[in-house]
This record gives sequence, C-alpha cells and structure tokens, in this order.
Amino acid sequence: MGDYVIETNQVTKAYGVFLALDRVSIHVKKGSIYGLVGDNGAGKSTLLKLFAGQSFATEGEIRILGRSGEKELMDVRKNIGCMVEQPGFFPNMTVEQTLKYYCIQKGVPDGRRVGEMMQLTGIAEKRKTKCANLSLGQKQRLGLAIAMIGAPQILILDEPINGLDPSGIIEMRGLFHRLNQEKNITILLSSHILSELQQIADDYGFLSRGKLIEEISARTLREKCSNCIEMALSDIERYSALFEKAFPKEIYKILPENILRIEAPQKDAEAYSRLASENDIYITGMRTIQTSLEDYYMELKERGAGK
Amino acid sequence: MMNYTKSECYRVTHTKGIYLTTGILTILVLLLNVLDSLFGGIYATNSFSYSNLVGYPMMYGVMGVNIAYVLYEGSRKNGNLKNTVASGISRVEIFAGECIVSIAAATVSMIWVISVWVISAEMLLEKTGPVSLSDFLMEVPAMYLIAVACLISSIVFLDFLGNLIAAGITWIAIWFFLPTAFKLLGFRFNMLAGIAMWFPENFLEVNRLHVNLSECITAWDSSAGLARCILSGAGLAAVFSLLGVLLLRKKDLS
Repeated sequence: MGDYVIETNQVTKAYGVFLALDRVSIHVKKGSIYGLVGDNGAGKSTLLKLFAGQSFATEGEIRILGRSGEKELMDVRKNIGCMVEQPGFFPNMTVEQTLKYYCIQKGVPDGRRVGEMMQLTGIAEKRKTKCANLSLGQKQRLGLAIAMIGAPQILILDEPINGLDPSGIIEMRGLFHRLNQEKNITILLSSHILSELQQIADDYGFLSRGKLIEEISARTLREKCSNCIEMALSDIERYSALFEKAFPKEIYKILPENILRIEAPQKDAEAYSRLASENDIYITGMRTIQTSLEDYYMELKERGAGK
Repeated sequence: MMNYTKSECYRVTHTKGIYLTTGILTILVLLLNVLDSLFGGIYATNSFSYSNLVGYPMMYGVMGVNIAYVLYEGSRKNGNLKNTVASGISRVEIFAGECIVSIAAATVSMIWVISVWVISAEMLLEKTGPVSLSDFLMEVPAMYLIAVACLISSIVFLDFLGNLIAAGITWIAIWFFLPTAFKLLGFRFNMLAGIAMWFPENFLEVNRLHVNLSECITAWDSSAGLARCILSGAGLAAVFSLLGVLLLRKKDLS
C-alpha cells in the first residue's frame, strides 16, 4: 500500500465536453490531514465524489487503501466516512433514528455507538429533533456523526465547517485534530476558509479549473511562503537609494507612512537595520510578515492564469 | 444488501409514509362501502363494491407505484443515497433493496386494505350480483406479479430520472401508451398483434366491459388467462429488473 491511503493517477471526469477534472494525480499520506484548496467549480467536490463513489471517473485510476477497481473500491469504502456537499438525511426522521438507520446500514452494532457519536459531534441535545428542523450547523454535525459511525480509517469531508458558528468551528478543528492524533484517522477535507485549513492541514492540493496545480506539504509551504520585512524609517528616500546599492537583488516597495517593504528578503533583518544605523537613519518600526495560505493560493492562481 | 434492506425496513416502520398511505386507502375503501350501503340503492351490493376493483385490475399496479413513490420519492432529493453509496453499498444492491422493501410494504398494505374491503362489504352490503368474493380474491394472485412489475419499473424510472413528474409520465407512457401503440400497429402487422396481447393493459382491457351488473368475465377466469397474467407479470418484472441493473449500475448521484 505504501505511504499513501488515497492516490489518483491521471484521473479525469468529463461531463460531455466539459472536463470537471483533468488528469488529476493526488497523494494523501496515511495519518495526515490533507487540505484540498480551490475556488467554486475548481473540481474539489467532483474529486471527493469520486472517492465517495457518488460518481465515476471517465479516465484514470483511483487507489484507496491500496486497492483500485470499482468492485474493490466499493468494498474498501466500508472503511471510509464521507460527507460530500450538503449532508443528506430523511427530513421526517429524528437525529437518533437517523444514526440508528446508518448503524444498521453499516452493520455496526447499535449499542452505545449512536450515543457516542452524538456526544462526539455535539448533537446529543437534539437527539429527538427531526432532521428537517436542524440548523445548517447541526446538519453538518450530524453529517459528521454519520461519516464517523462506522469507525472509518479515512474521513472525506467537503466543506465540513460550513454553517458553523465561531465556537463550532473551533470545536470542529479540535475534533479533527483529536481524530487524527488519537485515532490515527486520515482526513481529506476541502474548505473555502483557508485560514482554518492552514491551522490543521499537513499537506495541501491546489485545484484550479479541474487541474491540480500544486501539491505541497505544510512544511514546504511554510518555507516557500516567503516572509517580508516592513521597516518604518526616518528618511525613506535616502534609505531606498542606499538599499538599492547595497542589496541590488532584493525586491522592495515603498508604502505610505515612510514604510519600506522588502519582499522575500535574502538577508537577515539585522543586515537591513545595520545599513540604516551606519547611515544615521532611524528605524521607528520593524516587523516580519509571513505570507498566508490565502496569499500563496492567490499567487499560485495568478501564476496559473498567466501561463 | 442485507444491511441496506434491514435499514430500509427500520426507516419504513419508523416513519409515517406507509401508515399514512395505508390509512388513506383504508378510509377510502370504508367510505366506498359505507356510502354504498347508505345511498347506493340498487348498487348497494357486494358485487358492485367488488366490481370497482375487479373491473379495473390495473389499480393494483397504480397502487404499487404509489407505495414506491411514497417510500423513495425523496431519496435522491434529500441526498440520503450519497451516504449509502459512500459506505460501500453498490447501486445494484440499493436498487434491489428498494424493490424488496417496497414490495414487502406494498404487500402488507394490500393485504390490510383488501381485508378491510372484504369485511366491510360482506358486513354492510347485500350479497348478490355477478361479481363474487372469489372473483375479487382471485384477482390478487392474478395481478400480484403485474403490480410487482409496475412497482419495479416505477423505481427504475424514479432512480434514473431523479424526478417524480418525469418518472410518473414515463411510467404512464410505458404501461399505457406503449401497449396502445403496439395494439394499433398490430392491426397492420400480425407479429406485433401477438406481442401487444402480452401487455397487461391490452389483455385486461378485453374483459373490462364484461364486469358489470349482469355478468362477470375476468381475464383470470380461465387457467390460460390466469397463466397469461402471471407470465406477463413475471416477464415484465424480470425485464424491468434487468433494465434497472443496466441503467443504475453506473449512474452518478447529483
């Protein structure tokens, strides 16, 4: 099986002439949290639907837990929990009945499992509420409880924090961490809220217009996410002239309020401050800024659009 | 498939749909017999009451479709099938489970409604006329497989088209318009005339005018007629099951 629990090889999904996915190859490591990033219509849900068995690839190979082929995948899906797009329920069944229904369907002895899942996802107090009367956030929690009910090895979640309030988001983030760390569940999730994704994902896949434009680990991303240094100076005209001479390869911008921003600095901050002090220029403020996942994604998209 | 079927049984028994449908049918049947006994005049006979169903045997098929739609109309719309598919249950297993559960539910509902019909008719109405209790009861085995085929076909259309109205129109077209087309073409081409007479709508129609206040000649009166009902039902059930497997095997869920 190797290191990857989910692997695709040149997977394409076509709807007529439209390519929703175009030769996508992603690699999800065992025990990791993999974040799928992309705009609406980028192909995130389409890809997750292929893993969940909701649709079929036009071309290419999908390998889950080392197994491929439609029959094999069908079998291996017993070890996966999925929540793709809006979670689906029977509106006239209660939360408890819904979980019992899926317990029977997955062959899980009901016993304490229903109660456990309700506690885990924070929906226990709504046990007697009909699904039709749940809020979006509560439906997300129930969707997650259903995905978890068969004690899966892999969780596939599409926009799992959609509709959750801020405390719900924090709670879910903690839950994903716990499931990943304590139960060693591999989590593949997509989200529009990149700042949230940045806090939990170990690896990222960036999709744009059906193509995987980059696959990168969080560690490499951190390294790649270039810092920038902003310096507020007493004499910015003189400093910028000196700076150009001293560091000809550096890229910089002059911002309002006498601020000079050095993009992707190649030297330590000390070198830039020394240049100021040696020339009697006062530094009134200095800070290092890390590029966020959003910035990186936008940059990646612009690069992709430029191609 | 067993787990899916069991879970569906749990759902059907824990939601209102089947109880409500059976309840409404029971009330309608009771109302028919009570009103008939109170205001029916010369029609206040069990023969008249039974002739309502004996004269329109395709009602069994229509009721079968009704039950299937009550149970499965929302499955795709509500997105429940996404969860089922994601847990490794194949489309064919789902289709088979849906058929098994709705046939079982429809059978129980039918037994209940027929029992209420017979008991109320026998208790409230005069026992006279050409349509006897045995005509009425023999209709059940004669029409059972045809009703099953109707139900299976309705599930195929509903699952494939994903829309109740489109599925309903297709069902009517296949079960009523297509046989009529075959029948009309049969006037011109002999070979098609033979095929046309295996469609329930066509061979049941022949006897429709012979179930009235003075006579009762049903399609299942003779052993050949009964055999035609059973064979036609079994054949169509097999055809629609196969069609379901072929159409739904690789159907994407929206």
